[in-house]
Amino acid sequence: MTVSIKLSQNQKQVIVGLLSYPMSSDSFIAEKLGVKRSTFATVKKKILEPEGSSPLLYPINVPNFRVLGAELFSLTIAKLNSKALATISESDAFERLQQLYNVVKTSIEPSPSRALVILINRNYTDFTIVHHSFVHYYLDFKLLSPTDLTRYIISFPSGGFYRFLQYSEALANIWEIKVPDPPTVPIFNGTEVDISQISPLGWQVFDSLIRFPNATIVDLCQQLSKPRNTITRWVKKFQSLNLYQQRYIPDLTTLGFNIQLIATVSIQGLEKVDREKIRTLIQQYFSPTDLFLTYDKIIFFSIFHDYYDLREVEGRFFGEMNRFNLPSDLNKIVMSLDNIISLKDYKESFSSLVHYLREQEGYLLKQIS
Amino acid sequence: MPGNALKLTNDLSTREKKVLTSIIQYPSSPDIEIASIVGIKHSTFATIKKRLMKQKYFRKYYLPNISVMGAEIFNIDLRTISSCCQKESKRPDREISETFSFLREIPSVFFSLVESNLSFISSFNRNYSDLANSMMKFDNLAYQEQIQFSSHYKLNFPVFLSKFPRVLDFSRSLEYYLDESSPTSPLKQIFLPIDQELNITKLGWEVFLSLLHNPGSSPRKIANQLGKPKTTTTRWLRTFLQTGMLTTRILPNLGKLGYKIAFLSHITIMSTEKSSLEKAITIIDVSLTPAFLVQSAHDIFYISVFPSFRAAYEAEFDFIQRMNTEDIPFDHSFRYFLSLPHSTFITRLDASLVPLMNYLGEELSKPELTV
Repeated sequence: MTVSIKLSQNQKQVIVGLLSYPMSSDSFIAEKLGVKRSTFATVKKKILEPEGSSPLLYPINVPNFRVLGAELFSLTIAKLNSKALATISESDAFERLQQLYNVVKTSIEPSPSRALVILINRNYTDFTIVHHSFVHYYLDFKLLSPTDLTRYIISFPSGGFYRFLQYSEALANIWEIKVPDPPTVPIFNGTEVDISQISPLGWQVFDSLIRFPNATIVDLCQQLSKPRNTITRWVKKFQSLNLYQQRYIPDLTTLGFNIQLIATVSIQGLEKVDREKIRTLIQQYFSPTDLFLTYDKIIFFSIFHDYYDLREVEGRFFGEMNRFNLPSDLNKIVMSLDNIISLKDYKESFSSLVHYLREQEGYLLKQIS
Repeated sequence: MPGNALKLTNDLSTREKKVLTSIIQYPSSPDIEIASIVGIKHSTFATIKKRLMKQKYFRKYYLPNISVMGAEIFNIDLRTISSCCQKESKRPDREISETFSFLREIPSVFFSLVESNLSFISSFNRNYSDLANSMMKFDNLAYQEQIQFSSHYKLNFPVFLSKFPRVLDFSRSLEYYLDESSPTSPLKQIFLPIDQELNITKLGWEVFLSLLHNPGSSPRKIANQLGKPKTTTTRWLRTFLQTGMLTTRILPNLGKLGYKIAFLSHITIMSTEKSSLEKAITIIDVSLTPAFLVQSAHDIFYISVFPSFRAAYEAEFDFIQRMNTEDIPFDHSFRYFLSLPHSTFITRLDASLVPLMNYLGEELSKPELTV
């Protein structure tokens, strides 16, 4: 079991500051938080590069899926056969899953035996190919039941992508830290860009940026053996095209968060104004880290210290939903963060995802054998 | 084939039944060829066919090649209606069809029908985002009409990964009419990609849409409508049929023939063996005589029509027995029965195909045309 650490107020402030303004300079964030720049830099170093322990935050460069031509983001929650899970070596069962470039995250909770799989797809056909491979897992390994797969599909062009890996608000609310002018971190919006204007060298730079989010311009120059101004020019171009965004991901269990909520609320048939109201209430009460809308559901992820906190927030949320006479069918899955085995994570998967998205013609034909 | 219990209409003579089933089995063949297959004189065959057409026993349609037109997803949407504005109406069927008339506003719908407690929509969509927008529109319009649903099944078949061995193909269904020596209709896929490059001119598209909009019309009638020579429309029709851009279908008048039940079902085959999937398709085709059959990997959806519940149950029993004999494991995801006399088509093919083509073809180099 992971032991959580006690943080000072300064550390909490710096963590919230970095999560809120991931692409800003130290002096800008220090000023926003009202702390001395030198203090900020010292605390930041301890958080990102502590001696003798793992960092509390790690940076990640998230490619802009939509601009790169992805149409769909999907979550699949699968009930697993616990008997099969216990007898089978995980590497055997999931080795093939790792080869699918549009699978970007896979987490397993051994008890009560379920898996969360996140895919980013160029289109529905590609999504189906991977979904069929999940059915193959059942048939080959008796690991999951094809009828126990719950799928949620979010379409980028429909504008259903509201929050993704945004921990700033959740942590700021829980730690009661006020961030002046809380930033609205832009979600991956915008139209597709002509990525054919990116040369092979440009793609090399982009790939390195995604693979090594910690790397500085100097590091990239050395890695690619290219002059500094070339690398700088490409990085600036990617930023101007909104081709990637930097985020920090907190080590939740070390920070004392044990519960992750994955919840859905039905908005089927509701007027736009009621949909918006429900979404606003979810944002207000649950401070979700991830928030998506399909045509009939709102899906969100939230984090809590413990189950008691979750129930308290849930109670207040239902009270407000009733007050506005809104339908309140919250369907929830509560996962214990300490118990989750991560088989594939964004850190490792985004690089191969970019390669997949760059293949602009046709469908993902390479089905699982 | 099961179905000794069948009692179809006796209004037709043996020869009339033979002619009707044969034109449904061979919709693209010339009369002279079909007459020789069934062993009837050509002139007699033509007379009977004309009479059956006049008495509205069948209608001729052309189905467009959906995959060429850029459809990515075929969607099935099946909902149980828990409450609708069914007041104490003397004509509940008419009332429900008026309530659901908003479905005609959704251009991706292929065909749709409602019964007193079930709505069925099939649609072809350019991509998932379009499908999601259509479904949201449907939900909002249904909500405005105060329609509530108690269960909702959604099935999406990517056209590129799916097989459509039977699409509105009633040749199997009508085999109940035939004696055992009659040939059976083989499975024939449609909506296949076309290898060759088609150069369809504006006039070509006009002919294409006119054929869809005026089912049963001869090339001469289409030529008159468009003010073009008959040779031009005949040439385009031949090109469309030869390349697979259009497929001919003869749709029987199910009500007149005594069909009362439509059986809709989705099954999942629990096997990765290709041979099992192929066998399952054959068994469905033989036992359940589907008029609509689509398969993508393990998922199979079909619609069959029967004269009675008993016939439907017997067919299903036969299907299960054959699957057990072949040791093919499967799972029923859903199965529904629709009473055809109580069902109303909201979107009919003659009204849906032109809007569907205009919607799908938006991104093709095709002018938007109205017919």
